[in-house]
Amino acid sequence: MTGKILIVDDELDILELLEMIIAERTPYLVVTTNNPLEVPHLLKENPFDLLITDLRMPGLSGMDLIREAKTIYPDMPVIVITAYGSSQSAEESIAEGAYDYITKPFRKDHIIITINRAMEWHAMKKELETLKARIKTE
Amino acid sequence: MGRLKTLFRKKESGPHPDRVMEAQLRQKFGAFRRLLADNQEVMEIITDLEEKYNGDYIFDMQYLRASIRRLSEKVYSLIHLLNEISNLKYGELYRTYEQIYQELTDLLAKKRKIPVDDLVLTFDRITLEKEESVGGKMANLGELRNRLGLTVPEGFAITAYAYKEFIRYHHLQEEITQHLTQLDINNLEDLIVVSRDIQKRILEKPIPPFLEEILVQSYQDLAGKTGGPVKVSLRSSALGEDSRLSFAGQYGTILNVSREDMGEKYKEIVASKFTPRAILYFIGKGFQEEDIAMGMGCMRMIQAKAGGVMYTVDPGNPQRPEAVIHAHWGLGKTVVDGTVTPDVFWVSKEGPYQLRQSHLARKEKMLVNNPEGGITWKEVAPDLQDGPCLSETIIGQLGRIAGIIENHFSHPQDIEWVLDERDEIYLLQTRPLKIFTQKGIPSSQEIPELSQFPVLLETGVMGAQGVGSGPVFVAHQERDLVNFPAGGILVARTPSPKLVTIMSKAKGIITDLGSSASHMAALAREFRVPTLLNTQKATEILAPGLEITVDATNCRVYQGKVEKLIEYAEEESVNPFEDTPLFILFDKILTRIVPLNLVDPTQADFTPAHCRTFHDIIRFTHQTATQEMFSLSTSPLTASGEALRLDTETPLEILLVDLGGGIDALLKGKKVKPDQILSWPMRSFWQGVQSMKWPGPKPLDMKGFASVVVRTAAEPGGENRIYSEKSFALLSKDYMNFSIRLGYHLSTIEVLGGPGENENYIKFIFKGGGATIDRRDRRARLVATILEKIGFQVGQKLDLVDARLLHHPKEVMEKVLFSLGKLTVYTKQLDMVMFNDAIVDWSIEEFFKEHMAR
Repeated sequence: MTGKILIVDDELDILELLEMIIAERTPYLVVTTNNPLEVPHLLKENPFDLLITDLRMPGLSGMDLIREAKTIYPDMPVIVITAYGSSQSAEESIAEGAYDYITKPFRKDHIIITINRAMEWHAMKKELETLKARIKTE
Repeated sequence: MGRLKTLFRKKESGPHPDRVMEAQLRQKFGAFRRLLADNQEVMEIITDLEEKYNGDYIFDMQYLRASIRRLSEKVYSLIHLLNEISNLKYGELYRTYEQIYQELTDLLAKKRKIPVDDLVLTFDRITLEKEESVGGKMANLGELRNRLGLTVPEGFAITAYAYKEFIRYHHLQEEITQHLTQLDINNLEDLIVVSRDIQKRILEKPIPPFLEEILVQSYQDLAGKTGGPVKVSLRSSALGEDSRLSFAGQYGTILNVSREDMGEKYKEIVASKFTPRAILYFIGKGFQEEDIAMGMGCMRMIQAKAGGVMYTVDPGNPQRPEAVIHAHWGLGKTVVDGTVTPDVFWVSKEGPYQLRQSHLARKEKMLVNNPEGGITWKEVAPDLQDGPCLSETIIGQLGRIAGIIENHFSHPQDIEWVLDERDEIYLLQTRPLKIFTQKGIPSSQEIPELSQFPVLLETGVMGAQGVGSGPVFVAHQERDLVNFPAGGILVARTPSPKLVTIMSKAKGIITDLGSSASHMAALAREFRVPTLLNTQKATEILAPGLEITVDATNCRVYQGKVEKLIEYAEEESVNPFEDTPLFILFDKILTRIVPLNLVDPTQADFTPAHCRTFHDIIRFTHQTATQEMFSLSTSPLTASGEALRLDTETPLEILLVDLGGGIDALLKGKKVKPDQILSWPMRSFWQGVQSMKWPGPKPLDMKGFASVVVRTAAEPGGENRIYSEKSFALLSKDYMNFSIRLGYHLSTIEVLGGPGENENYIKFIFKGGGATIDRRDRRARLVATILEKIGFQVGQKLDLVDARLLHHPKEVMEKVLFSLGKLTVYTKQLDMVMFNDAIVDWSIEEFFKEHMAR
């Protein structure tokens, strides 16, 4: 199963490490940006199976981003990256529709597991939609 | 006994208690406890940092900044507390601290200094060492040209210093700083306005005459070399631009620039430092704007027949031994940008540089230089659209270049190149290539061979990751270490920084006790010695000489040499993030924190002046604070402190100072009965003392050798002298610092035992005696041998015995203290009878048989 992941974080270091580790450990394609403002544009241009976003960024907050993303792809899971000690906002992001959150710093294995789960969830969701559609037409 | 008791009572009317002194003692003790807690915390922070440095974690600058801030605060606190304990003896440490702290702050702020240099440097003057002047991109190109003899287009670099002079000439810095300070980075409109204003200010300024002049001159020199007017490309090569991710290509590159346009285009690239996105970047990253100086490369435009990139390792298949070339007709920019589908060739990097495989693409359009300046799209001639854009000869030449560059930089490279119409290859850029290997999440179960090897140990905590194999060497004492064989696995009861002496030869370290936050574990990580701690029973289970394999990462020890596991671990131990800028910075930061230079407190360089890292300061403060505390009960401070008398059957005069929770508060002001002591170390010790029969002056009930002991003991000075001095014990609930003057010798026992084993210790120093030096020496040997047998690490020099027991749980310490109590009574005046070595051996045997068996 291949899929595409978009990662947004204003910290280039995180983007770089995440990109490396996802490329090493998963078959997924990764697109990264440190500019949250270009995310809506990127999402409209290309379909993504997963969005991973930081919660606090200059320009546009992760929370705004979740809302934006949900209007473009309601079914796309969003994983939120939060700083240590900000679990409250992480919970708020779940209320806002995020699939899961992960607190920095995190183990490589942890993010890979979270990503795989989200991707599987998304694949199932898509399959379900296809089946529903088929039932309707039949 | 009666006579002694009378003497004892007389002594009761001592000096009036001085509450101030006692308060000072309490304060010092309080500072000491805080110091120990801080010490534990700093070691935990360092361990945490090192764990992140292994490459198993993903983190950001914020984590680094927060950790370093917390660490710095605690290190400062350690220095402060040590000075509180020692009456400001170590003020010098503050200076060392300030220096390290400043370096760390600069590193974290990523401050760079722009070196004064010529405004322009021709390529023949540039190598890697010039990176701070011309930026990484141009420094690499210079290296290719001058160190490797490869061809790069003729040209020159405009230095970061030229940029600084440009800004200074027009007094632009004040304006820029003012704009940026007022900027609300979360306000996008604001950001766009600020960006536009700064860029406008830069673009409207003329190039200063001195810069104009040197640019024109350099251009003419270039034209002279290449025979006539040329077009050039201007490429940003900023300091601090680390050419990665979305920031790569952030700053401008302008192709096919004429002489007339050079000044304008120079300013355009300078202005590209202030695009909204670039501003977001350096503010978000905590860069100082002034530190990002814009260096630039200016090189002759090559009339490109074909161009592209070459990876010296195929990122899609790193196992392949070949380099991979992506090529297209015209300028290589299209390949770099990904706007075309290129031809792909795999070529060997070693002679005879053969083409191994090609994937050809249909190439309909290409990008070329526009004769009027700039670049333009053009149709590819129909007969060239489907064939390869490179000949096998050119591909072979590129393969050779790949080999040379990769070899030189010792790392896979991402190379931009262009081929001119005379089939000459020019290199435009080289930078490290990030390589990913496709692997699953590993586990030791994946190695089926493992089942053939018996598991000897499956406990403990990882001190330093990795796998090592070799014969077991059990060290009971520090002095055993001199015989440690190269390639051995050291097995010891407790971790000690002294083990550093063997770390360069050890394949692994296993201890019974200890935690990963110990100094030794930090050293092991630094030396990359796989280390397994707190196994409880390694010294019992692992027989000397036995060949074992220790898998510290998974806390396992196998019998035999597990080759597969060693190979597997070697592959795994490569940190994939090692070459990322974050880790390069992290590495620089850690070198100011982790290395431990002050290993041995007995060496002359164990001083504040020799502290070079935070770890040195931490080690120094810890060691010195313990020493200061140790000598507290013999210091003049104690002599006048408010003390309570211990009500004891022995003829000793023992005064107790309660540092908090050591004695039942209700009893203060009275004589303290032994069972009213709340300090558990004192209780255990005293129970040991009481379990022995106190040898009186004429002990008719004692048989054999023991009677000899006592008879002789009465000789010089007699009992009067012996018990005339007071002994002091400073006590808290879990602390005891007891200086016992017994006869002519002094022994000091210090014990700290909390719930966490890492800080627990018993220190015991024994010195002096009334007999001749050889007899005292023999008694010291007796004491040392017995202490070793009950688990201490012991050092002995003449009549001085210095013993310590570290990191043990309370239950073990209670037993040891009980034995120490027995030993203290047993050795009372024993030096008098130490006529020969045989008596020493006899006494040791007797002590264990008569007193320890029960």
